[in-house]
Parts: sequence; C-alpha cells; structure tokens
Amino acid sequence: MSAPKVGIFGLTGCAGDQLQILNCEDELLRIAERVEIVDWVMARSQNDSNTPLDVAFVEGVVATERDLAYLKSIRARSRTLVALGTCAVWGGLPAMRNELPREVLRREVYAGGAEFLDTREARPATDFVPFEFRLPGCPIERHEFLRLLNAILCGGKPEFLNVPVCWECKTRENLCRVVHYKEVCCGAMTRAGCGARCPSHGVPCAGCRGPVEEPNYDANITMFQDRGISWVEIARKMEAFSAPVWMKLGLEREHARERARGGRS
Amino acid sequence: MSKRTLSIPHLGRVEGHGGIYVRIEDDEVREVNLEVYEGSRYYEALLRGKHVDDVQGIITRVCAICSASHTVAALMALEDALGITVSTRTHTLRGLLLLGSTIESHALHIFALALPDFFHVPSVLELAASHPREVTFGLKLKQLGNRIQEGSVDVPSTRSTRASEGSAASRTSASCAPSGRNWRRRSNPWPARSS
Amino acid sequence: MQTLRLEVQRLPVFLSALRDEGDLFAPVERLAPKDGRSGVYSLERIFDVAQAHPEALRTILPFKKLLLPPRTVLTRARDGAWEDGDELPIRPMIFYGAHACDVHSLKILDLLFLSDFADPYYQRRREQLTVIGYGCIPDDKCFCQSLGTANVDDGFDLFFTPLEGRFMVTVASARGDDLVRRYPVGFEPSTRDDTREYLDRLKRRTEAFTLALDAHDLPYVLELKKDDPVWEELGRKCLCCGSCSMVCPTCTCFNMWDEMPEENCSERLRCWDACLYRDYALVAGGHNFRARRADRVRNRYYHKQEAFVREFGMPSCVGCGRCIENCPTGIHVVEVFQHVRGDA
Repeated sequence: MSAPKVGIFGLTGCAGDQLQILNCEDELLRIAERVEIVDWVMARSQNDSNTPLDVAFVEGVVATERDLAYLKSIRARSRTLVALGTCAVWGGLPAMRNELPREVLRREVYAGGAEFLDTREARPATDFVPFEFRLPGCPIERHEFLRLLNAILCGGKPEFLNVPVCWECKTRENLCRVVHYKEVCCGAMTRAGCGARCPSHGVPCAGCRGPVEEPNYDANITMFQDRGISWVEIARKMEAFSAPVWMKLGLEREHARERARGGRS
Repeated sequence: MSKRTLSIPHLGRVEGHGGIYVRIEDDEVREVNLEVYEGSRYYEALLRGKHVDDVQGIITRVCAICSASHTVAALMALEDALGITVSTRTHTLRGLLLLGSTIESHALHIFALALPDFFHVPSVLELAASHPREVTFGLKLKQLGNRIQEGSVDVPSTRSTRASEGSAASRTSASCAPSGRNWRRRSNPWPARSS
Repeated sequence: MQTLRLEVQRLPVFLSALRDEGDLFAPVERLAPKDGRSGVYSLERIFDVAQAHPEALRTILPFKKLLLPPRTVLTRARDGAWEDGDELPIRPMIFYGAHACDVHSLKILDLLFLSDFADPYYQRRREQLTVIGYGCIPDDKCFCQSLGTANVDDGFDLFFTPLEGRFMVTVASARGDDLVRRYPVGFEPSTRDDTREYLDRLKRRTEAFTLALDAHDLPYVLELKKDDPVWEELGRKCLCCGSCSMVCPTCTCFNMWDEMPEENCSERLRCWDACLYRDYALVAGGHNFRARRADRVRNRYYHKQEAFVREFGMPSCVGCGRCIENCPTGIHVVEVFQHVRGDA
C-alpha cells in the first residue's frame, strides 16, 4: 500500500499552524516517512497541485476571492479535509470586526491607490466547504495535531473534548481571573486543550481556541457585568478570536443597544 | 533576439503567498511582475479602539515566524507612546525572547526553506534522506530557538517550593493536558558534531 | 483512639522528621502578583515545613488530586505490546493539614474506589497515604456541621488540634502510633487540662459556624421538587465550567478514551470529567440524557444530596465550601437548597 498523499495549505493568515507542523521537530521526519507530502507551498517547491489527496490540511481565513477559489479546489481534490487553527475554524483575529466594511479598512491602512486589492470580509474556511475535522487553536497545539494525524492515518476518529478551559485551569490551580482579579476571561466559553496556558501565566483567556459547544454566553456577560466591568470593556475583550460566534450569540444585540444609548460602536 | 520568460505562479518555501513573472530579452530583464496573493487582514485599522493591554496579543499574530519581533516592536511602540521605561530585567528577557526567535527563524530558513535549493531537492524532507544528521541537527537547533521562546529550556536555578503564579510546570499537580511530554524524554538532544 | 499532647515548638521537628517517611504535602499559599499574598492555598509538596499552612480552610483542589490524578494513563500499547501506563513508582505521601471534612471525603472516596471492586490505580496511591489532620475554625463558607462532617474520630492517622502553646494529638491508626513512637520528639500523654481546653475549643468552634443547612430531610424534599423553577433558573446562571466539580473533594467522575500520541503507540486515558459538561451524558447513537444545562445542574445537586443518600445512607457533600468559593457566577449551594425547601 502506498503512503497516503497529503497536502498542507494556507489561506490568508500568519502561517502559524503550518509552522506548528514544522515545529514538531522530533516527529517531522517520521511523519514524512509515513505520508507523501505532495503539495505544501510553505515548505516545498515543485508542488503537485492536481493530484487527488488523501488528507488535506487548510489553515487561514477566506479574505480574498482567490482564497475562496483555492479552498474550493482543495476540497474538490481531497478525501479528508482538516481545518487547522482558529482562523480556519472560527474566523480568528482577521474576522474580529467584520461589521466594518473592507473599503473603509483599506482606505485607512493603504490610503488611496490600493483599489486593486483582492479583498473580502474575512470568514472562516469552514463557512464555505464541509470539513471532516476541525482543530482549533491560535496556533494549534502540536500534541493535538499529532494525535489527530495518528488517528486519521489509522482510520480512527480522535477525541477532542468539548469542555471549557476552566477544566484545565482548575487542575493547574490558578487563581481564577474572574473570581480573584475581576477580569474578562473567556475561559468558561472557550474550548480546552491548551492546558490553560494564558491563565497559568497570569493572563485571562482571550478565547483563542474558539467556543465550546453551547457556551452560556448570556451568563458569562452577566458575570462580568456583576463584577463592575463595563460593557465597552467586555466587548473589546471579546471582539477577538471568536468574534463572529459571539456576535451571533448576542454581542451584536448588545452593540446595537449601546449604539442606541449613544456609546461606542 | 532571444526571448525568455520565467514564471513561478506560486513561490514555494517562502512564508506568505506570491508568484513571480520575469521577461528577459537579449539577456536583459525587461519585465518583472511580483504578485502577492496574501489577503489583507487590516490589523492596523482593526486595532483602533482596542485597549493597550490587548495590542500585543493581536500583533504577535501578524506573522508566526517572527511573532516575537512583532510582540517586542508593539510593546516598544506602546511604551514609547505612553512614556514607560521598562526594567533592565524586562529588557533582558525581551532580548532573550528575540534571540530565541532569531535562532528558530534562521534555522528554519536555512534548513527548511533555503538549503533544499542548493541541493536541488524540493524540501527539507528529501534532504533528510540524503543528509539525516545535518537535518536532524538543524531541526534540533530550530527546536532550541522555540524552547527559548516558550520558556521551556531547563535553566539551573534554585527551585522554590512555594507555589508561585506562572510556574505550573514545576508544581506537583498534573494537568489534564499532556504537558512537556517531549521535554522530559530528552536528556541530550544534540547529535555528535559532524566531521 | 489515644490522645497525646505536644508542645507547639516541637511540631516542626516532628514534621521535618516525617520527610524521611515520604513526600510531605501541605497547603501552601499561592503567590499573587502585587502584594504577594493571595489568601488562596493549594496542596503542594513541601520541603520546608515553615511553608505549610495547615490552618488554611481549603486548598483550591482537595487532596483527591493525590489519589486520583487529573490525568492517568491506564495502559499503553506500544509496537503491539502492552505496558502499564501508570508507571511512576508511588512514593509514600504524607498529607499534613487535613480537616474533618477532608477526612470524611476520604472515607467517601474509599467507599467508591475500594469497596466491591477495588480500583488498582487508586489503591496503590491510597496505601501510600498518611493523613495528618489539623483542627480548624470555620469561616462563612463552611457548613460541614450541618452535614455531620464537622468532627471525625477515625479515617486519619494523626490529628493535631491547636490549644494554648500545645497540641492535642489524636492517634487513630497503627500507622499513626508507629510515627509517634518512631519520632519521640516530645509526645506526652494528654492531661485533664488538655481535654478540658480541647472540649472548650470544640464548643467555640461549634458556635463559630455562620452557615447552616437543614439537610435531614433533603432527599425527600428534593424528590418532590424535581420540577422546581429553581433548576431552570440555575441552568440560565450556570456556566457549566465544571469548576465546582473539579474542586469538589467527592466529585470523582472521569472520562476514558484512547489516544495515539505517537506512531504505533496508543494510550488509554482516564481524566477528570464533570456531569456539568455537555457531552458527559452523551451516548452512542447521539442521544444525550442531560442535553440541557438545567438538567445537568439539577443532576449534580441531586446526586450529592439525594441519589447518594439513597445508595449509601449519607450525602456525598461534606460541606467544605469549595464550590461556593470557586463558582465564578456566585452560585451558592446552601442558598440553592434553602431556596428549594422554601427556607429562603
């Protein structure tokens, strides 16, 4: 049996999830023996961009028309498609203020003369094509990537728990960023797997791994407000990695209320 | 009149996306088109309205390979704007972070992005087949740079047993998440020097 | 049971000597960034006995973390051969600073993990555990008195109750007896004065409780209140972050799954889980027995005070107050039950 053919692709993004694959320094060469990486622009030349793929990994957001066409072409040639990283799964930072028109942003950053830019509202790759697996994280965790890859290569399905960051944070016995510091911590809404890295270093969770299934959005907002945190501050913290999801869950509604009151946004 | 064109629609082994088209006539370069396909993320504009505390966490995600440089640059800019002077310790730690970043990104560049060209192979993975020791060394060097940035290098120190914030690794509680699985196994990661 | 006395200044000598017996664990204050003091404690291995805060009422995680680690590799298959996963040798552990509620929770853990079918992973740690108690004075989150777990006369090895300038030392096991004989740092038979002062202290302690819960008929009340609107209300308020379960000394639910961390290597893992998590009651075929938050919250309360009582004749809550202290949305277990029975 020949080695499975693998492609690794980046849409618009920082390449951090692909870099995490390269950061599996101890495992990389063994991975390369087990699979045939035929298309990986970031780490290969002479890429074969037509062969059907057994497994394809895609990171990044769709922020250009070219991204979208590229994503569709990858989907069309791949049996198993994996979304790598929060940009691909949830939209990530590029999608944090999708209510702002791109023309406004373009003028602000590039002034005039950049009308040729191929640009569109940043949205997660998972909005456009179906994916077999989704591995969030900004960037992805190496151990999760390896577990996922090993499971796929064995024909299995890896288990990634649908539990919040608090699960890991409590086992590390960190002082709770909400209870003890009265901060906006997205840990209770965010999917675990990172080992509660930020709270373990004294920083509240920014939600970079995206939401757990059915987060109790309203109760989280109430919890922050009950601690005297202003709505503006809550919104500015939450308008980050998973903003499109929070917008859907209620952030948009609260923005509108704030606008009606003559506040920010 | 001799005419030649070079066309690479998607440049490989560079970070970022781009293609290049070059037209040469009579050994003279007449036209060069570099196309950058990278989408715009507009971080400069999206930062408006954010609190200064949140800037670094966003800016570090501009680029994965040089995330440390973006972190330090963002912090320096903010400190400059706010008239903040950092302690020598903070300054030194940032220097260490940047050195880690330099080691990592140079090792990545040399071994994984540039060297395959000199050996006429498509990637570091093929290079590993012909030069396993050198590639292994390069990856270990890259790993050292990463470990410096992650703060996971074992530095001899007097270990305090007082539970302190941010020293999760040295404490007794085992987390749910597998932590440091690889670090523990490695006693001496350095291969013998190639002769 | 035997009682001894020990001068206050002799205790550190005894504890230091105990380090020869195994790893010494005690509550240690967590450092906070600004003034250094947090008032929050965690159970840590200590090398310097001066770091111990045995009087600390609660550590973030209870000592179940010593007996049931948050993550255990049960077994591992590598290259087709089976290995024992939980391979680390377990050194003797001495837990200094257990309170009565902790000892009661230990009894509950033993009941769950050692009766009928003993759990070997628990058992091998449990056999290495020495429990040294320390008398406490309750705060506004303690309600052990209401649950009959405020006092304890067995289930530990030694128990130090602070009196004026000395300790009343209760010896409750052969292992405890061995220790005071092996390290004769000044243990003496207790006197009538000691006993009188000890009883005075217990009386003062009894009066110090400010939080109370009438639990005597809770199972019957709960049986009638399954559709009380309070559960829906809690379902809206609860984040289902699982903090209360993680910090609960008697919450022992776990999840098991297989993972492939490396090529040709598969691990069967056991990790802490919580009935508040959405996928906890999800079964094959996609059915979820407690798909709604309100159902999950209610289940947790019912298991503690109703189902467990019916099965074992006592609640599985020991009244330590950890869930009150750690709930980010301020759900207060005593207030919930008071509300349910119509006291509040």
